[in-house]
Amino acid sequence: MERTKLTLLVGAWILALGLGSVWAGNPPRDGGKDSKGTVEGSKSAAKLPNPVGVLQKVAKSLAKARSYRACLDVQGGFATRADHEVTEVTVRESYEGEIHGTLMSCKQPKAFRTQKKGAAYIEGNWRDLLSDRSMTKMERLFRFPEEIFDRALRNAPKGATWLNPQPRDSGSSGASSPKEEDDEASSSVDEQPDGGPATGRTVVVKKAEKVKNLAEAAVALPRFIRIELPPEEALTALITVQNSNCFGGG
Amino acid sequence: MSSLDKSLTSAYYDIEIDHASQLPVTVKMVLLAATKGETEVDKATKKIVGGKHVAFWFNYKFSDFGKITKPDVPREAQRILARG
Repeated sequence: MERTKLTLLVGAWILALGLGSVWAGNPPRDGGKDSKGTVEGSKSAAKLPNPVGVLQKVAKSLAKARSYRACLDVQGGFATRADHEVTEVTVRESYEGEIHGTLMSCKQPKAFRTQKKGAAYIEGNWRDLLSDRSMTKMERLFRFPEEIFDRALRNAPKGATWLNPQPRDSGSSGASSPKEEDDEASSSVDEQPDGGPATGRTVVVKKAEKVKNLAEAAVALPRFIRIELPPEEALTALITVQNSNCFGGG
Repeated sequence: MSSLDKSLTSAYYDIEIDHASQLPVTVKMVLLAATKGETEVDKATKKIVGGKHVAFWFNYKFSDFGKITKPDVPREAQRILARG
């Protein structure tokens, strides 16, 4: 009796081992496709350019740009959730500025600013920007884009990473269909028995694959770089915001 | 804002880039600060994960590169800008 039990136990153990190894080698439900995607993803992640270098180029291009428009929406207050969505709003402001060289002009409130000084049209007169409370708020909250990039660049070597390295939906949707077509083409060649025309067609597929890879590389470039600021920098930014009087101090 | 815990602050930028022009499209800055005794913090990463805390979201959008005409700055405003 005991011998039978033991035989059954050993049998069950062997069966479990066998199934485990089968699943490990070939994960159930679209396993092949998923793992291929992951491998492709990691390959493209490995090819990603250095975010710091990209950021430097962007900052340089921005500095070279003669003029541009910058719009800012600020929302601040208290949050209670992990996504930091503001649930108790203490400040909600929108600003728009036209930047021409080192000068920013704002229509509402009417003001001209440089990184060091500002003049605002207050009660029919041009005055120093900081002589008015609402202007001070704008000065503190609406930073010059170059200033933002300076700070970002300063902290990029330690804290810059690409966000969502997978291709974006909008960009990849156009690229995915030719990819699928190519996959189908190559598989159809593979499935064909060896013959005269097959070699010629295989070459075509290889060329198509090269083109596909180049297109994928361009599409796969993520668009977002995240730069984590060290706590000291975060504190400096917080104090600037606090000095704008938008914390409900008055 | 006396309840602010300035020893627990964090901030990050998310910068969106147009790779073709190598210019920024958007910049999001999120600034967080704990409030004393009310904020949940991950002890390992020292990051704010919940509870009551201060959050500021700055969303910048950039556009019209090279399309802005030079503004005409009034003389009085020029004088203020020129002051050291």
